Amino acid sequence: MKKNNFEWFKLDNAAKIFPGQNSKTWSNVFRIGVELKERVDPLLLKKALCRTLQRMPCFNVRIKAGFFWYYFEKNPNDPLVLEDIKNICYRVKFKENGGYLFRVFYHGNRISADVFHAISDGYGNTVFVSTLVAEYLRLKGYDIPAGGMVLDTGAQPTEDEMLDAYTRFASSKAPYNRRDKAVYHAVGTKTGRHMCNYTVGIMSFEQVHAVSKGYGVTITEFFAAILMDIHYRKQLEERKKQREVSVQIPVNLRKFFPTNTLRNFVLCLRVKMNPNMGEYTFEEILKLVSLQLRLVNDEKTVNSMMTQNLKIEQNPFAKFFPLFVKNLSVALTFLLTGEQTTSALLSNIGAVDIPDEMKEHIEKYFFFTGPGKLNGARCGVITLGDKLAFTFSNCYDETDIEREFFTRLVKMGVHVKIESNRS
Amino acid sequence: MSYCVNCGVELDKSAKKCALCGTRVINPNEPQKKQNAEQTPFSEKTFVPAEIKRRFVAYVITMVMLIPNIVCTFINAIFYKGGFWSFYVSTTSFLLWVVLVFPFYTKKLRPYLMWFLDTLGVCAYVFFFFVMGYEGKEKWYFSTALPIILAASALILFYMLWVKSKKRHWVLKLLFVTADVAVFSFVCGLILEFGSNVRYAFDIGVIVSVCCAALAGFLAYCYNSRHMRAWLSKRFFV
Repeated sequence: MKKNNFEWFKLDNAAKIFPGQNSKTWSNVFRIGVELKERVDPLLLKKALCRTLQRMPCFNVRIKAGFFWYYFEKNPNDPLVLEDIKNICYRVKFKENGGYLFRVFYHGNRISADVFHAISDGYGNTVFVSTLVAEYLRLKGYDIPAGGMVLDTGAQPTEDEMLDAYTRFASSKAPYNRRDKAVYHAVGTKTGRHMCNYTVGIMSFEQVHAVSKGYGVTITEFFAAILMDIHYRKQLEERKKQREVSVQIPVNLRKFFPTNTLRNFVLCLRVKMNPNMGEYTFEEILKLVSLQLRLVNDEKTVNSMMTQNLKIEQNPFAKFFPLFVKNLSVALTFLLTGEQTTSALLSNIGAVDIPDEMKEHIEKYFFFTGPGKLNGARCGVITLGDKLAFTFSNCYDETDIEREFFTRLVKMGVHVKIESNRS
Repeated sequence: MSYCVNCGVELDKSAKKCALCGTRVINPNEPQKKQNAEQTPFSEKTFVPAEIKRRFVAYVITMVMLIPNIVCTFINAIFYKGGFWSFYVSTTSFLLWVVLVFPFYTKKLRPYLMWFLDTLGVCAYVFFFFVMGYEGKEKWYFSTALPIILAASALILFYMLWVKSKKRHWVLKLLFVTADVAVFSFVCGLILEFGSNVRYAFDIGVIVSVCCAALAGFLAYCYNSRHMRAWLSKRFFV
């Protein structure tokens, strides 16, 4: 591949939505964090960041507006390493932070990266943070090999890592009709502007796995069912007229298609229940969630969804609208459909795959989904070894959903340790 | 390690209260020490991104609005000396400024202050625009224009006070607006007929008023009668 191919490149299909949604108070930002066993040295971290960016050109970019579309171009500025803040994942402005669409923070033993969703998804950011931490540890004098989610910083970036996988793999001939209506939202007192409440529950993966296995479901299905059950019961108490309850679950498409792209390659599935059908027990909800998810979570269905999304982008009529018209229509669509169609979000990155030599220096990983505009329960799950971190991002001051969620797990015999920016 | 006695979860050693229920952490074996900021899981610093200030925007708009006024006053004074025509430009700009720009100067929305200033602004505008410089117009102003403006203003104030006192159903709000219109048209008819001798103004005012009052009565009946609502939904279902 020619070297100058990464000087500029187009946004992928999913990424095209995020700049249009971006506002002066809210951005689609998420965070992956790592807790080390020793205090972080910011100078070494900065050095490690510069080396990591050389290896990962899809992060080393700034966003520019063309006449019809946005595009990424190589960022000539120096990246910054910042002291951590309480209101993580606050909005992104394209001209701030040297034009970088990510922010690397340090606090005590922790290294974190807030990433604007347009450049990468959960998997890509985990690879970015893991490679950064590995490089940092190497600079500290430890011998950390590459492997799994840690890239070799000495090697050249590959074409596959920079692949717009949606365009490459979307090939379905079957149309996919997704009809979603407005669902129930557990609302409360809004936090201030640029603020969000984060509550992390750290638990044993083995314990959670054993409980979910006892019900015959996966961990994602188990968590999604608890979230749905909580919202269902809350709505029964609050409202006479019942609305559907829905949980949005992003799925990593790399498990269906042969690529390890570091750009977006994710699709959101929705599982929903209609309380007007009658009374549900937790076991029934669990079955409902599990069956719905397994029905759509296969290569052919996601390919059909992917192709449908791509069709909208490639529509010759829409294609030639100027960028500001596209931005307006994206913002309007997001306002009318976006979070209106989901009661909660559950994003499970799964187990982080890093070399054993690196695991010795790492306590745990964190995944924060970033604040919602309407949803009080936006949850991120990530696992390293036996430590599973479940994070609630809540744009309301009320804690009833988090409390109900974690106390239920405690009652099921799972040990939960809580950390929060509230206390 | 400390546990919340209420939720059963383990808490971080830096926590002073349970993040889930707010219960205070008291552990006699592990007395609370002042934690180093770096030992807490989250940073204590909050970053508030800079935003465009409302007052600054209002200031810019004020400056922009001032330009045509200064230019017109200058031209009026130097070149076209026939009357104070630039005064009309200034009066209109001032009313627009009071209604549209001034609210940006206050930190939060102050409805009663806005109501007072808007009423005053409209009264002054009508006086300067239609009365000043015209002979014999004062009588029309005090007998017709001013009472109509004050009546409208009073009705708006009643509505604001009523809506703010309690959360109201949309049917009740509609009912109040309809009743307001009924009262206003009646008062207008009265003022126009007997203040300015406009023929049939009172009759027209009464007709509009009766129509609105009938509509308000119907809405009140619908709101209070369950049978009526049931009948309406049965007959007019879509």
